[in-house]
Amino acid sequence: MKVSTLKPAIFMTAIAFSLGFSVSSASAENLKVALAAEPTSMDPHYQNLTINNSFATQVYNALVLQDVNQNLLPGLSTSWKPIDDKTWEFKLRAGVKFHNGSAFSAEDVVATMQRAANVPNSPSSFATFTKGKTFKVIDDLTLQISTEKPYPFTPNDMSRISIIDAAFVDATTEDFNTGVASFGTGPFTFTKWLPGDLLEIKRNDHYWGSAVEWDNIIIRPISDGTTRTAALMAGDVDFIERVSPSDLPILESREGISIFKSVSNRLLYLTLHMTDSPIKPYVTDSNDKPIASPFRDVRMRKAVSLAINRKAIAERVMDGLSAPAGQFSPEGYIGYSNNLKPDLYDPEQAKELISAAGYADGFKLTMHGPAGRYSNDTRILEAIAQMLSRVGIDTSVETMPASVFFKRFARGGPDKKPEFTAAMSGYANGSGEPSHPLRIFIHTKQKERGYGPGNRNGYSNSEVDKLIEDGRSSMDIAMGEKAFIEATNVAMQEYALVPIHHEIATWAAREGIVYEHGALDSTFLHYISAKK
Amino acid sequence: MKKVQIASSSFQDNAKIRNALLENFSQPTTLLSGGLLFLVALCAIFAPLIAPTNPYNLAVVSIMDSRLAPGEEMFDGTVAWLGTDGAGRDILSAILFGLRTSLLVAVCSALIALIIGLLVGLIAAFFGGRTDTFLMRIVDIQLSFPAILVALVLLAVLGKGIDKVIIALVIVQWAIYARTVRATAIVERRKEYIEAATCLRLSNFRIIWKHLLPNSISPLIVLATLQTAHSISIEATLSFLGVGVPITEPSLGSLISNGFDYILSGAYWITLFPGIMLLATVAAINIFGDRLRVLLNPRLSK
Repeated sequence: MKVSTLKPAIFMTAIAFSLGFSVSSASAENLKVALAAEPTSMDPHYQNLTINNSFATQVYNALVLQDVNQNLLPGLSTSWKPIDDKTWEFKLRAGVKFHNGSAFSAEDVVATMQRAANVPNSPSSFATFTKGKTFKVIDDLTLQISTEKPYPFTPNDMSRISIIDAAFVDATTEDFNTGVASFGTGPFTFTKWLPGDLLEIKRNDHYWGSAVEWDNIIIRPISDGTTRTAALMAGDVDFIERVSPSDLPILESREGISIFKSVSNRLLYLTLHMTDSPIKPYVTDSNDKPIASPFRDVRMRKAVSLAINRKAIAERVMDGLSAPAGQFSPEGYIGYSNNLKPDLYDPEQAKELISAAGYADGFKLTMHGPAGRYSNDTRILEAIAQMLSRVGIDTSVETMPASVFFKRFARGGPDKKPEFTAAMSGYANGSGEPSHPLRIFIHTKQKERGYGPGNRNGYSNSEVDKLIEDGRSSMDIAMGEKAFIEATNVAMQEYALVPIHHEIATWAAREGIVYEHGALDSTFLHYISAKK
Repeated sequence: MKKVQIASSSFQDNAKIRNALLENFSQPTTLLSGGLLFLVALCAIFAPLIAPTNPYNLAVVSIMDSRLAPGEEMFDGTVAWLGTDGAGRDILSAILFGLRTSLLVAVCSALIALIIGLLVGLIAAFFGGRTDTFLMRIVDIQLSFPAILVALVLLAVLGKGIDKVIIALVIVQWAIYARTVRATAIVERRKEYIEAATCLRLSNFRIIWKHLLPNSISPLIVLATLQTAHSISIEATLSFLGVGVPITEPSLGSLISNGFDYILSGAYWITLFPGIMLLATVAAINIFGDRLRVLLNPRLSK
């Protein structure tokens, strides 16, 4: 029924487009959006994946929301505070109704947490956010969450899980995909999903927050950047994300198109292997004889960083769509340290450092990276290879499909150890939890404790480890942040990894549409509005 | 040449080819395609000598020269007559070096595939029966998959590198040769001179090598030419799709693919010139192969 009443509206829009009318009048309430990818499921607890999570915020709410810079905001919970060292108390919002009409209460939260951790066949589970937490209902609108040890990030974790109606605790992923169970409390209601073709959502007129402007949003997945640009230029869609850097000049020169840019928290970095344990011979001397990684020496890591001309990469490869980086966070984002600036290009000093470290005769290096995972990834690798070759490191590049790369990157070597000597990869803090990059990449690898799963190069500094652990076990959030920044300072000065740049995220829309953007490169439809 | 007289039909064939070649070389299409092919081969062989820069030397290529329009001057003063690509490589040099890679891959893979196909085809035809059935079913299975799909899967497993592209191309192509050889050889097998050779109790090896092979080879010459062109296209497609040759040593296909992203922004030269080169090379080989086919076909010769 819903669908049949919708069709004429879409049809009208189509006519309006084809006749070249401005859409700002009668059918302004329909918005067509082209995204680079579509969610893998409509089940908000199926897969912990950026695109799934950002789409889930349209139909569902979490207890805690995040703004575009991942600062925490009240969501289905109006306030939260620690009541003792191990317990957080959340006050819930009164009078909120799910899209199917049932009222929201603390029971729904408990049911959700149960389901989120146990979705069958989940490729990456949300259990990581519920693990070790005990949920206790105090009354309909009060909930206590306790952990075994002091844990300051419970509110961050609660911002990751979409709350569903307790009635659907046993619903299957398929029930969500077809819409049988897709009832949230979010700004839009789910209309339909035809995988690979379109995804449609409708305004929730009873939303507790500020209402969105659009009656309907029609999302089309268009994976190819140039095709997205062409679709916007042809007027087939009103809004696109991820403009290809090479297409940007055309869109900028065209009238009737607005472009939005912001430095995202997506970092591209190099990891340089720094343990004695031999790995596959991707470093050889000039006679092709394998040698131990020269990057065990901090001077060599610094030399690599100084040899990279980040500004040239930003201008020449990225068409201005990257900001040179010297740490995990871009300026203004959680965890940013004022003490760390991106290294400036200094090939002379790089050569001196290489000589001082005893590699004046040069060596051969094979650098690895994914193809097509990050914006211009292979071209960046090529540019870095040029730059390293110029300071005497005879570099060649091997790229491979992302799925192959990440597998080998993590455990392609002997004994399932990381394989590569030098590799380029990317990172974006998806959860907004400030210690996340430190815990994953910087802390010494201690699998059983959950530390260092992404530490592929063997970096280890007990002082840094202690700072990270202290910050993570203190309920004093301000003190924790200070510890994390201090850990970042030390690790980055030792080149635990070599930051290259933060990508600049781009969106483009027809004139008259504005988009509120921040450090997140994914698209949040409820931030799209019409110019007043 | 020690040769049993009964195998003399191959001499006749050779004479026929020679006459036909001489007679038909005056034709403009043959001349043109042959000339172009010769030129392309020269370019490829002497690329390091004639190319203005070495596009594979990363210490020389500079990102600061990226996407210069045709005729602009690069940082070190060299004029990039056909422009530069996104990594700052001179397109002219990159085409010459890329052509080298493309031709090397195509010729090597065609030759190796031809040898394997020839052996399999001859053995199948000569021994017949179960051997034939067995080998030809393998060929059938191989041919039932699209070549590009098989090559893609193989390269995904093998990884990047020119040697790996050659291996993949050999694997997708040998079956075509095997089937063609078998078809010709099975006809020859029933002729009297083979029967005579068998009666003389010549060894199987000798019959295959000295009698069956020379008489079954002429269709292969044509096929090999056409398959070389096909190899170039497959290699280009694979490189275009991002498997295949390493990114720091682009072939024609990867050059085209590199430029593809810049088409809308007006840097047409990165795709256009390598594209023209690819087209010209493949067309020249195809036309030349087609002429050969006409020349060698007894039904079409006067």
